[in-house]
Amino acid sequence: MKRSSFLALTVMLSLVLAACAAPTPAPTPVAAPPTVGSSTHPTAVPPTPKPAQPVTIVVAIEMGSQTNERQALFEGLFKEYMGKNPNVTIKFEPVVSDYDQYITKLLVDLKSGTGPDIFTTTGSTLLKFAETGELLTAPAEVEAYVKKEALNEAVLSSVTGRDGKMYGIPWMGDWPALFYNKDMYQKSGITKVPTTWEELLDASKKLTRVDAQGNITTAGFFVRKSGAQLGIFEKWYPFFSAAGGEIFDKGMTKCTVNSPEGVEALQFYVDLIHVAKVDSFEAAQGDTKGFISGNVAQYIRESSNITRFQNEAPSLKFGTALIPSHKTTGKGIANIDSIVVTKACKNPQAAWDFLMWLSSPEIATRRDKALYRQPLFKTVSQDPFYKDNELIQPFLQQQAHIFPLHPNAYDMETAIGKYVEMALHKQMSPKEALDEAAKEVDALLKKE
Amino acid sequence: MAVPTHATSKVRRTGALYQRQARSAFLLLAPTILFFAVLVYYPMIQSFVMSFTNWDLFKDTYRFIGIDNYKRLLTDRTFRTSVRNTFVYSVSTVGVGTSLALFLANLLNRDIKGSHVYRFIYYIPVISPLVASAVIWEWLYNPSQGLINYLLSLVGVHRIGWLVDPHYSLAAVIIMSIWGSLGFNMLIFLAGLKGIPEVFYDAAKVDGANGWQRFVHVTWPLLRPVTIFVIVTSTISAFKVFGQVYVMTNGGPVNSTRVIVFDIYETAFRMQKLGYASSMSYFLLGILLLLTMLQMRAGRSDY
Repeated sequence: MKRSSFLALTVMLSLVLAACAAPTPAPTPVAAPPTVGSSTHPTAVPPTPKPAQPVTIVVAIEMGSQTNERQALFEGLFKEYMGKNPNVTIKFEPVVSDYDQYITKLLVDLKSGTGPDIFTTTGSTLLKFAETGELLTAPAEVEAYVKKEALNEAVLSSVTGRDGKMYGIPWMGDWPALFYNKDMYQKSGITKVPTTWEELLDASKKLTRVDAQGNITTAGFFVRKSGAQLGIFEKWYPFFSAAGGEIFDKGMTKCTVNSPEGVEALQFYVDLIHVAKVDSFEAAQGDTKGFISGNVAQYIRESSNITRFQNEAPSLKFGTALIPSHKTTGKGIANIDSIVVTKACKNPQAAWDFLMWLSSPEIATRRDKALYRQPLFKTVSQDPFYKDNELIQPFLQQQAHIFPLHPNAYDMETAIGKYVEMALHKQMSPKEALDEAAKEVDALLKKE
Repeated sequence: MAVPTHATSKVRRTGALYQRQARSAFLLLAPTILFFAVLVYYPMIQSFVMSFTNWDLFKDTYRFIGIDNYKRLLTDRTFRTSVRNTFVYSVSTVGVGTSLALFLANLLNRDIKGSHVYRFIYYIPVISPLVASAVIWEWLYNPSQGLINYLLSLVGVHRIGWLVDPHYSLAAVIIMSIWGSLGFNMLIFLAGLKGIPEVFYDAAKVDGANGWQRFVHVTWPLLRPVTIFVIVTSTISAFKVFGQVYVMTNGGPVNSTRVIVFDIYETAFRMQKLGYASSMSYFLLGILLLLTMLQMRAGRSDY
């Protein structure tokens, strides 16, 4: 055999082996529709029917920022469940990674037939999973429980598909409200937390501090100017909603972000930097870091920051309040994770029973309190821990939206955020920016 | 019938030995070839095929759409911004970075006291983890509390929003990247300088050449292969920039630091559009191949 032929043969053999090694997508087995035991009481730990055969349920959970606390808590809870249900083995797969990587891993696992039975997801991603047939719809009893317990419309919408069916149980989530520095309020003679745009502007001006060179050392109100464009959109949204803006028309056929209400909201937001000068591009960079270090007096953020302040800056005196209103009540965008059961799950009944136990008021209360999470269920919110907590109460009263359901919601939010950012940098007027945003969102709306 | 002579049997024996040796060599190479075939070439071929599909990771099926993804690249305004930013970034980091590395290598090539300490100091950024470095630079660039603005304020320069002002953000990433790669390029140049025989300099001195003339007529031509190596590797690495952008700016503000690989990442792993992301990757490969060929041709030695 010639040398070149031998080499060619070796390469070909390698390529053939490589091709053989390539994973081929396994067909997704379609499980029978689940049936859950009939007598689950929604306000107590439900008695779960014990499976006759040993059952293993694989649960993948994205760990977020509280990795260690979450892992310890979930392991404890799962052990407790297994103690009560000796035939059930919960195989916990905590995933510590960026959310995008978590979703990519899930997708690859699910497509190759090695996915979990249960996993956590969020927003438009749940919708994509649901619409590509990866998820089971919730049994009637689960649906009734969630409908009864959901704290508000946003919580309920977070697990509902465009077909009106429910695909999971709300897991953890939050939405924003106003944070303010109490000491700075006192020093600036502010006695009332702002409830309108005018009051917010007035308070922000009083709270803003500049050095001898005119640099802002304390931003009276932090305007999100950089970072992920989705985040820029979400921080502007409370103003948009307060102005009475709607992202889409009623039939969701056209983007209306460029309505007069939208333009008014963006003009106000841009003016906070360029006219009122209560924040600047050269002022504090990070909102939460800035709030901790005293470079930010007020900002709109999610409740999960409360624990962060208590841990990282115990001496920081801060309060929380509703988002200031304008023509209507200001609402934030809610980010709510849900926990779902995959269609590939071999024991759907056992999986839903486990989730019902995990979401029961008693367990959900223990879970949310341990992680200091904002409750998503009515019964949990009535726990004295939350009822008497003046920091968390505004979040429970605060209205929130989820972005209208669409598989391209992420791209849409990013597109609007991109143009809000351009307006903030004065690369476009608010009207021009929102017109462009509406065009891009309309294109995404048509693209399924 | 031909009787094998002593000479022909020796040739045959040598041939057989050669074949045996070749076979052993190829067998030894096979695992490596297999490794590359499975983990490099097969994914490369697959991603090339994918670049002609509308594959979305969420969907089970995909269809071939011809060159639509490549056509879309030409009209995609965000991608155009990424390409422009990548070119500005690469030209700046390669141009300034290579010049600075050469300058420093020349300084350290002299017999100065503690030159090994300087070498070590310049090399530290190369061995520092990129993410950690990027986080440190994020703090250095902090407009209100960062060291850089503080130092600038001492000479009367007004506060700069390094990472939040689109006029400065790309420059900020470029500065950080030059700092990160300087030590490596400097060491390569230093090795090249050590390889130039002293006799050339002696001869130039005899001819009356001053320091600058010796650099232009002796050092620079003899360093040409090293320079080409540094430029080619730096260009490839510059076009693949991702980590510092991901950590420090996330492509912003207003897409001012959005680069091609960041765009590929977002398209593939945030939007799960693998077909389109693959076409972006092959576009990048095309640019890199073309630039490398041009650089190699321009660097062909006449000496």
